[in-house]
Amino acid sequence: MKLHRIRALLRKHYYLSTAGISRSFDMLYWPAFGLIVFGLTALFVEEQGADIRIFLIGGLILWVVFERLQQDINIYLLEDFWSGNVANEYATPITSTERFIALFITALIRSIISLGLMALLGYTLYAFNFFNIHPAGILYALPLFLTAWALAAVVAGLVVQHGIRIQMIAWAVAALVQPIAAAFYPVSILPNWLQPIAYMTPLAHTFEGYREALAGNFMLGQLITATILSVLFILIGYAYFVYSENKGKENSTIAEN
Amino acid sequence: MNALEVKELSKNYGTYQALDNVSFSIKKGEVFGLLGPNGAGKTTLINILIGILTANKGEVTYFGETLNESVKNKINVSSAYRSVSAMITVEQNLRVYADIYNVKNPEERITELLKRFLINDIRKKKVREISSGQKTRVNLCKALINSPEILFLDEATAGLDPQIAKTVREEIKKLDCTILFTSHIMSEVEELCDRIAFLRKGKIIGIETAEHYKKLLHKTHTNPTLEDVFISIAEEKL
Ligand SMILES: Nc1ncnc2c1ncn2[C@@H]1O[C@H](COP(=O)(O)OP(=O)(O)OP(=O)(O)O)[C@@H](O)[C@H]1O
Ligand SMILES: [Mg+2]
Repeated sequence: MKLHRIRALLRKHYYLSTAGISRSFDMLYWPAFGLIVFGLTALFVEEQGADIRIFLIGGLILWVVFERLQQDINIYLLEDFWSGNVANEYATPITSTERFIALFITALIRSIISLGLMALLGYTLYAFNFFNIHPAGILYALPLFLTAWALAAVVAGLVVQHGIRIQMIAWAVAALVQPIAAAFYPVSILPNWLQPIAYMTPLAHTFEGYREALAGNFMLGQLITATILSVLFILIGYAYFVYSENKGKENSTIAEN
Repeated sequence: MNALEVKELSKNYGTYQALDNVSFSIKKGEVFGLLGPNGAGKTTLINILIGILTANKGEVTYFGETLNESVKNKINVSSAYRSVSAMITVEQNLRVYADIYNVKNPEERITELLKRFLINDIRKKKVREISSGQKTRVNLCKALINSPEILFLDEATAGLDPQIAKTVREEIKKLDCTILFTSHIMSEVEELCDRIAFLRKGKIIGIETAEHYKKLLHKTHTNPTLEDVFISIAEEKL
């Protein structure tokens, strides 16, 4: 063992840590985030005491579907970056829309399989029936999928525009929005100033609506709000993706990968 | 009709001008060589021509049309700088590209190409597991999958052993398409190309046959080769 070699590695780690904000972000955001989400959940458990299983297991299943969908869309695109196949594929007649749709379909199939597995486990291990909801509750899948797709489109756009140096965002972004998604607690538990922000995203409406559906209620207004917002999000996400493909062709990110 | 027409193409990377008013045209069926020192702008030019890099200025037409879906179906590229998906097999990759171009009888086409480039034995291997010379040939198979009418080869023969390189040259000669060819192997360029454009610091400084270039060196060299021409041009003596 040689100290100078350890020092060399420490020097490398230091350079990496100060090269961009992503490493500092890892150090600060994740710990803070974990504390906040679980703190809020604990607050809620204390207040409510009621059927907490619905909130936690139901919320988790829905959340994981959302996160998997977004991540898979991005990871299948990243695969081409890792292989050096991006430029090859962009030289073919494949259009932005075609790429966008194909990524979504693959990720959707995979996340539905994940959903099936989690629903099964929830039922067998914890006697929690994910589908024991108001039948119209299933419609919340639409805004959930669209929002995941929209978020993935923004991340895909960032990657196409700036290259794989920002690939970490594909794994981080869902968790970034988690605190205001109200996946594990109702929006009302959030600080007052944060509540209107949460309600500007389709996620909060989706999770609240799904919980209502689990309790046997169906709130049409909430579903409509969630859906309209998610359509808005996907349009913005798609527009950004197309814009970033053009940027990636100007700044050579696509040609270099 | 010209297969490819390039008019006053310029490209800047930030403040660096990589291409400066490049113009040329390639006749249908011609094999057109593009030579120039490292950093001259050859890859930049090809990237623009295949539609993955945007030029700052200029115009390109393919059989008289600008780059549209139908043109994209009729061109293809093989580049030493790229690879197909590393995590899936050679065969699977080619199948994907065959589907993109809606190739008829994809299985037969794939087998035919793999045999022509002597890599049918590795068709079931994952791309990350094959050698660089094998990868080079997989890229060529990918580039030929749609029987392109214009083929862009950017150092597409780099890293092949002499015997395989010969086979690949023979295959390229047999192709019935227009080719834009870059390589740093002068003998290969001389053997394959009908005309050669020299690019230096983003500017075209000549478009001639190899014979013509060599004649320019008669005063200073006995039996000048294309390599002598290249070096003279790179040293700005020509
Ligand atoms: N993304 C980029 N950003 C900035 N400059 C770039 C970029 N890509 C290429 N360049 C510069 O543009 C010039 C042309 O590069 P290009 O890759 O086209 O050269 P080339 O002729 O293909 O060289 P080689 O023979 O080494 O392959 C070089 O000076 C290079 O440094
Ligand atoms: Mg090059």
